[in-house]
Amino acid sequence: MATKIYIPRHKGYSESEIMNQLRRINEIYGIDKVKHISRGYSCNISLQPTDLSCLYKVKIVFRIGQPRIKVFVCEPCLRFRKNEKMPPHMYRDNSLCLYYPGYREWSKNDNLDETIIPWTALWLFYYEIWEVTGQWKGGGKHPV
Amino acid sequence: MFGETVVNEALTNYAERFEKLRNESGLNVSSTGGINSKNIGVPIRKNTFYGN
Repeated sequence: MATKIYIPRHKGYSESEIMNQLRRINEIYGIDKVKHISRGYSCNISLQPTDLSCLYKVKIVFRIGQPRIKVFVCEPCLRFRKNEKMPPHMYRDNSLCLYYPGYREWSKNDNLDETIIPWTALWLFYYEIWEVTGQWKGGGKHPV
Repeated sequence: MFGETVVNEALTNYAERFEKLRNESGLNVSSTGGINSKNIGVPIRKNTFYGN
């Protein structure tokens, strides 16, 4: 009789997986600060999407046991245009919406240095254009 | 100096050029987070921004 093996679909990060991600991020981008937070870690990195951009301080938050990460722009404060609640493609907690879960573009097994961080740099680039022109040129999907 | 319309048009064109390269998987990100089409750093994988 065949035995069914249960593989959890959304197994969260273990501490060693977070450490591995942090090591990779540090090797490629250089981490400004790592902090141990409640049930997880946060790390701060600096990104400058173009030569004319300012230097953005970005925080990435990992929680042990959760399969997702959160990305926040800490500095400078993101500016909102008149009559706009917030820049496009952000969650209500001000974290960035960098991928559409329905397309399976990212899973926790992906390296953040190859996915989330480049997408964050892209998001910042399109944010800068949006801030001046009011147009989001980076495409994307809106919840219906 | 140049006026809002000219600046907006220039930035829009700039962003559209980037978007075209992005769709062709022709963008990379350097160790400083700089986006480039010179093959410097990590290739940017396809993504779809989501949310409001």
